Amino acid sequence: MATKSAQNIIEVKHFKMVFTDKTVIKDLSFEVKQGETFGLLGSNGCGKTTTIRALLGLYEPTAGKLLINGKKFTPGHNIRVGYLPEERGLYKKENVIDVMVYFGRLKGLKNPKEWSLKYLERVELLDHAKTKISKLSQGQQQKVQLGITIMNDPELLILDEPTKGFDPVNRKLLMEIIEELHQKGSTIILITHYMDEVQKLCDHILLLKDGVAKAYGTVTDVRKKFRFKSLDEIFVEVYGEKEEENE
Amino acid sequence: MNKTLQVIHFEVMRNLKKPSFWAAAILVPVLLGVYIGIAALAGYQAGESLEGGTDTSEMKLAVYDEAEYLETTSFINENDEEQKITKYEDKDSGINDVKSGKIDVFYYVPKNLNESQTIEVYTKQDQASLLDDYSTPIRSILGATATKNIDPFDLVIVTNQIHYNTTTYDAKDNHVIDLAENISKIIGPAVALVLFYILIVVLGNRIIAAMTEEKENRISELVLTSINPTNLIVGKIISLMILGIIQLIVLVLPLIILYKFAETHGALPFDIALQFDAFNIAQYAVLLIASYFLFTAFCVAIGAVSPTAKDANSFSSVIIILTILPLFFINALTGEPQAMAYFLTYFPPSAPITIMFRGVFGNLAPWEFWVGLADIVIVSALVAKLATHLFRRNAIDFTSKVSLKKLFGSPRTTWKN
Repeated sequence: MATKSAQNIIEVKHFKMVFTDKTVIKDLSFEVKQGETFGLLGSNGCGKTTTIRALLGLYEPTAGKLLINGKKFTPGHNIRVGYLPEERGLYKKENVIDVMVYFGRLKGLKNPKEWSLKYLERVELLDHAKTKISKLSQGQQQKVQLGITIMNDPELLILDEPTKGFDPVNRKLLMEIIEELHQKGSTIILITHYMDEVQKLCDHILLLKDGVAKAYGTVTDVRKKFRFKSLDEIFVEVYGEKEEENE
Repeated sequence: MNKTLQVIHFEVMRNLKKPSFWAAAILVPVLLGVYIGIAALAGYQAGESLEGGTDTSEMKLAVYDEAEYLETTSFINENDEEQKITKYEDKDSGINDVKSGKIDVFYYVPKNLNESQTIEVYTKQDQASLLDDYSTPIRSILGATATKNIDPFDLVIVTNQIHYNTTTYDAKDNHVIDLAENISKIIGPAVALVLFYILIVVLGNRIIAAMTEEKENRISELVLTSINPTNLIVGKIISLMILGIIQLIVLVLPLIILYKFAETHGALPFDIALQFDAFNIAQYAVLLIASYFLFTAFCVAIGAVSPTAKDANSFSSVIIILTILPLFFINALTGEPQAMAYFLTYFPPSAPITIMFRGVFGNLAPWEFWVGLADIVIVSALVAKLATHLFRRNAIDFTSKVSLKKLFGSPRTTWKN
């Protein structure tokens, strides 16, 4: 858990994102402290992924500042980041170990093969180390994606709808990994629709709608604001209102 | 290791591990070798047939010379031994002996040979030897009879065995054109032309696939949070260049080995000893690599803005057509260059093949070569830069089709490096 004295690892100030003629984010500001688990919530198309992409430099913001450790993010320069995107895949024609070693090298691991084999053993895929990705089941591919995401022991872990399509076994594995990294002091940003996950894991949350934050604070603060309703009820109340078309 | 080097290592090694890469790399020289082999064999057999026909050294031969023209009945057979043809006194018994198998070949020289100019040949054959030619013995005997009273020198003239030594002066400055030297100047551009064409055919789709793979498989975000897009695309371009060069080596090495083997064993299929102009070959090797770089850069730019390889293919077809455009204007490239030849020489996509063609036809001034090469190198660098820019903007655009708005409209993705 983040302490009050923890430093901000993420600072987003007056972020605005316009795509040609569509304003996706109008004005968004929030902070994430080192070591905390932060839930970024919102209905489909409300701009959660856009915010993360802008934070990771994949999109150039129309206005505002998105800083990680006080700087604009560039791969490998200012922080070890693990990112499990919503749109995720792998090099399907290559074998598991080659793909993992490639990503390990890109992430600067000294011995990516050793790490990969150890991870594959943990997730019971060691026998498939030389198997082509395309020959793996969906669940097995998810395990490999997860391994690639955490292989650099990330200080900042960003999970965009991580349990989408996960079977219960992989969901349990993911929860274990999140817990381990959280214990180690990693900061975690979780984008999800599952309120039970938010309730269980998150310290702070932000509810995004119509390009602005509808609620932002600790889970308790947000619940207090909504007359101590459950997070599911709050979600329905906020997103049940007529939304402006934005993304 | 630098991240760009990691990309190069990954891209090159995974292609080299694929049987499909080697199949494509080896298929062309193998097909070329098979084609040349069949052509050479057919030529050899045709030559054999013309020179000697079917071996008759073990056969029983007979002739009925009704015209009483033949002055001898012996000839030198395939084994360089004197062989005799038995004389018959009538046509029917000769034909009957062929039918009964007593003799193998019977020749009938008709009384009116000078009018009919035809000698009848009778043999008994199965299907396999239907195309055999048994006329050689009688040809030899007729030739020996005919030339018995002719002066040997007259015979040389009549049989067109005089050698003609030609000296050709250059149309521009009257210097003597040396054929071997001229051929040496053709080797560079001709080989470059063939190799460039093969590279386009074999590697065009591979370049497009390499560029769209991350988007098609939704890997872009995972990759681009580990490496910046410039390093990624530079790594991809360099690896594609390395794969192209490996492809070239696979194509050229067997040819060099084959040539050296044929030269050592005196089995070259032509009389002129080839001279290799090292400077000329180096010139066109550089042009070939620059041309492949240009083609790669165009394909990379197309791949960068296309969500899938399928979407990119229709655009890459346009580049391929522009690249081979000179093939549709061959007449404009063979003679004195006119406006079309100059246009094709300096229009970047068509420049490589045009320069190589004009090099083969010998109507490319040295300065034109260097200007054309500079044109290709500069445009390649600019297109590669544009491709990098487009890749940055569209690296995580997984679905939308190529459009002008997409190319030059408001930013989607931008990296500052």
